[in-house]
Amino acid sequence: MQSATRPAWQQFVIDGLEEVTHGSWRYHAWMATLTFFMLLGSWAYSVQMREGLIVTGMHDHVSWGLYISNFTFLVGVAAAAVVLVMPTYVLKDHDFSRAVLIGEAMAVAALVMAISFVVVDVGGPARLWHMLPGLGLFNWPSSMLCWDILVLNVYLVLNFSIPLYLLYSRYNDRSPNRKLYLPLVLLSILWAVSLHLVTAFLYAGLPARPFWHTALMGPRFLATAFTAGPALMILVLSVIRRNTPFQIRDVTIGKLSLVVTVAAQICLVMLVSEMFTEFYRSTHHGASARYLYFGLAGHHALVPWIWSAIAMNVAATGILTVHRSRKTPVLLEVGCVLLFLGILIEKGVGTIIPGFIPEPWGKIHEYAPSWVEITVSAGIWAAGCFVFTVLAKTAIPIELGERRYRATPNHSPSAVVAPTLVMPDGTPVAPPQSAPTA
Amino acid sequence: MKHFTLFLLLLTAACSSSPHRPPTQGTPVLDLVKQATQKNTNAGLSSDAFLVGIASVNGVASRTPHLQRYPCARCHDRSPEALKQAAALKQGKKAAHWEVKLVHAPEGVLGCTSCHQLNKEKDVNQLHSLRGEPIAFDASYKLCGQCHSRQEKDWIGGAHGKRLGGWAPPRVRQACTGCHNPHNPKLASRWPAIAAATKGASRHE
Amino acid sequence: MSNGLVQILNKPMDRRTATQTIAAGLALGLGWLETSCSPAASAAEKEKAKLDWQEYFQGNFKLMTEDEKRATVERLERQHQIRTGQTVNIADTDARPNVLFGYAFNISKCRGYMDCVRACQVENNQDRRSEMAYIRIHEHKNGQISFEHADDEYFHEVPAAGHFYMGTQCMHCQNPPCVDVCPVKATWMEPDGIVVVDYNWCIGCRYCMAACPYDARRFNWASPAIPEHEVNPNQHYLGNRLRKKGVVEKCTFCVQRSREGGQPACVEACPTGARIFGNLLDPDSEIRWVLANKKVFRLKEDLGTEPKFWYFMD
Repeated sequence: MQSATRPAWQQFVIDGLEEVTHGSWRYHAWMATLTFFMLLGSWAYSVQMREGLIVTGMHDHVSWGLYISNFTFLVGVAAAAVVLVMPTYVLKDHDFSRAVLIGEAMAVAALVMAISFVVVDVGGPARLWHMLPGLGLFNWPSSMLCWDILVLNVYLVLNFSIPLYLLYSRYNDRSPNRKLYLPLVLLSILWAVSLHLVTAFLYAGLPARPFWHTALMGPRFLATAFTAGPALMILVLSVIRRNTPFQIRDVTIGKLSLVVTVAAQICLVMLVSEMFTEFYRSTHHGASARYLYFGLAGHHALVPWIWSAIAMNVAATGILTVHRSRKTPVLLEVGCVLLFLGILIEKGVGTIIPGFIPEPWGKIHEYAPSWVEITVSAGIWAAGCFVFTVLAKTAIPIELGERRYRATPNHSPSAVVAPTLVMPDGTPVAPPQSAPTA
Repeated sequence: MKHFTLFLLLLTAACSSSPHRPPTQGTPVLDLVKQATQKNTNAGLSSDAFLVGIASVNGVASRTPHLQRYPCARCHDRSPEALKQAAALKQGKKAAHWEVKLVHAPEGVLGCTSCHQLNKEKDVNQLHSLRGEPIAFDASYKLCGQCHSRQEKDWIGGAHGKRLGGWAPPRVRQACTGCHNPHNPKLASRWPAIAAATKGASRHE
Repeated sequence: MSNGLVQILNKPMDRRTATQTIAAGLALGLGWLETSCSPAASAAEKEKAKLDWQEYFQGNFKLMTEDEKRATVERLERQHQIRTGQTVNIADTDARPNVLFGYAFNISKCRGYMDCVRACQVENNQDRRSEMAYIRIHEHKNGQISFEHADDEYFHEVPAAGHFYMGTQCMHCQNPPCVDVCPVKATWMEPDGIVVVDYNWCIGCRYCMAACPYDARRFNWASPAIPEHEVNPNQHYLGNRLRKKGVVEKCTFCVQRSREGGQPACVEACPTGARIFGNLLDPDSEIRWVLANKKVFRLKEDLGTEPKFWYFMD
């Protein structure tokens, strides 16, 4: 399979490319579909570049729309990788070790999407070099957007480089040097929490928008992130373990589903807290919430969306809270799908759009995304799926021991469940011993 | 962790140096106002360039160049009765000032002679106060201020009326009669300037 | 370019902008190289490409030296001349010392004529297609100052019985939230208190629009269009010079006028004298007299933005 004459890093790249370009017809069909949507999105973006953001549904009153909604949601998905990273590397919970690479790949994909959504939202993407330190002017620490750009990019580098290093070590049959990666892992954990707090502060720091100007914004962002992120992870892991020899044990899914359940419950508590303050003695600062939940002055574009989202979240939390239904794979997956969609709506359009409605002088100008926005967004989601698939496709065979720099001739990948990672104390991860957790 | 802190510190040093931030940014404006008590030269700026073609007397825009029939003595060289007789001889001509319809103050309070001097012993080219003191047409605020003293005070201070030219000295105020027709001082109702084919029309078809 | 009635600003930029989607400045540079090396390209085309290239890499205006500022505005004047054949005069006048601009609005006097809105559009070269306006006039019912119940899109004879009028625009806050949030320092407060935008530095993220509690900022969702004969040629780099699509703009107290001692166009146009403008640091100014002698208030003072825009009544 491999030629040992090349240097390891060259062979690593070649093997990666070979892995990405070869697969079943279903794999190719999947990638072709994604490519189609990416091209479609690029074309829609070229229309936006030519005409300006006038082709979106945004206007001076609702100056952020679908793009920034998606950005907000995806930062949460990215931050959720910490759910896998922390137990694996720090708490030495071996059950998560297999899923952690998938989680990190998901974080990378989510970050790529989040950054893309910001780039397509700006009016002058060609002038983005004005942000580069040294060349441009970076309004740090004053602007929360600068904080966000900083944490996003560092988190992207961390989530890309840590798994790359671990996989590369494994590819070369070496033990990774924990002194090298453990500090980075610890940093990435800290980073994940701050990443999403900073994204919340981006909005919460604006007294001009009372709907966002709440201390609950940060905690609520974290809670929704730790619901939607792991929910998506459960779905992805279910797909992977059905379609690849990469075995994810029930206990991993079980623990993840527990995280999702607790986080979803906290989300509901926070939703109720938020609604109480907005509605018990409603002031004019509650106008956005009234618009969102009940409609205001005859305008109610978001009402069906937010109530569908709440219904989905409540139903899913119910499903997951009952032990028996949570442990039924089909119900668990239904619950995860509902939570993912529910939070996508609630945290995306349900958080960003009402911040602008009514506008600062109380007038209502509604927003609906245009076909350009929807197509570009679909393209970016396709690009995210593409990135994730590429990363997972290359990582899995290395993780399984199918691809090595110097392959053992009689190596039989399916026969051996190789230790996945080396724990911080240097011991290899042992095969599963523990029973699935409640 | 130590490296991280160092990194943050360096980054702060590199990025937070805010070039040319006005030292007053963030200071309550009224604090700045209270501190500024000294005479201000306004950076030597002048409104002169904006006042070209605007005649003024004592910082008030002149009225006389805009008067259609001035000086008054051109016609008012005899008593009003004699003038009326002379006008009546010219058949088919309307009487002078026929268009003036006094809509100012309640009915019966004001008449032509409340402000205008028609007695030929006095200077008919001037207005006159309630006590009969002459007031130049270019100083009509003295006349208006007899009743509208509150408006006059605001006008002298700067809260009423319009300033002509720029904000920098010299200050030239629009006269009362520059905006208000003294015979009908209420400003007219009208349609907004943003009209047909613009904001209003497109949204209110 | 000059024969069309409506000049769509920076039309030649569009092809460039499209290229930038793929390879940002690199493509531009190659394009310039190609143009400048090609024997077929005319001298004017070469110059235009060169100036566009320089514009793309121009630095932040606030950090420029006096010479750089001068060179920048001269280049912009030349670019405009190449594009349209018309001459504009772009000033780069700095803030005057010991001047801090303030504004007062008499809600007893305003009659809702909107002459100010019209004058502002004409003076500041705002996009005519979208009828962009920095000023909003709110028609309030007597008995309440309630903006949500006010009408800012009225179109009927004014003043309407039982109503009063109130204008809002950029308040030029002394503690401006829009400035804090800009990620690239493309907007800042000048020493004379005017909050300005460097249209060439703005990346169009619109964070400032979200941060402004007064709805003062406007975005160029498309390329602004102004009939060529309506372009106001007396411009300032930080004021009414022509903008591109994808950047934020706002009221600048007509910096091109006020720094020369002139009144903003809205003050000049107001037929009722409801608008008062001047130097807050001059104890003899009208604005100071209003602050000292009238009962004034500001909007949303509780947000701590320290607006330099007051309202008062007779």
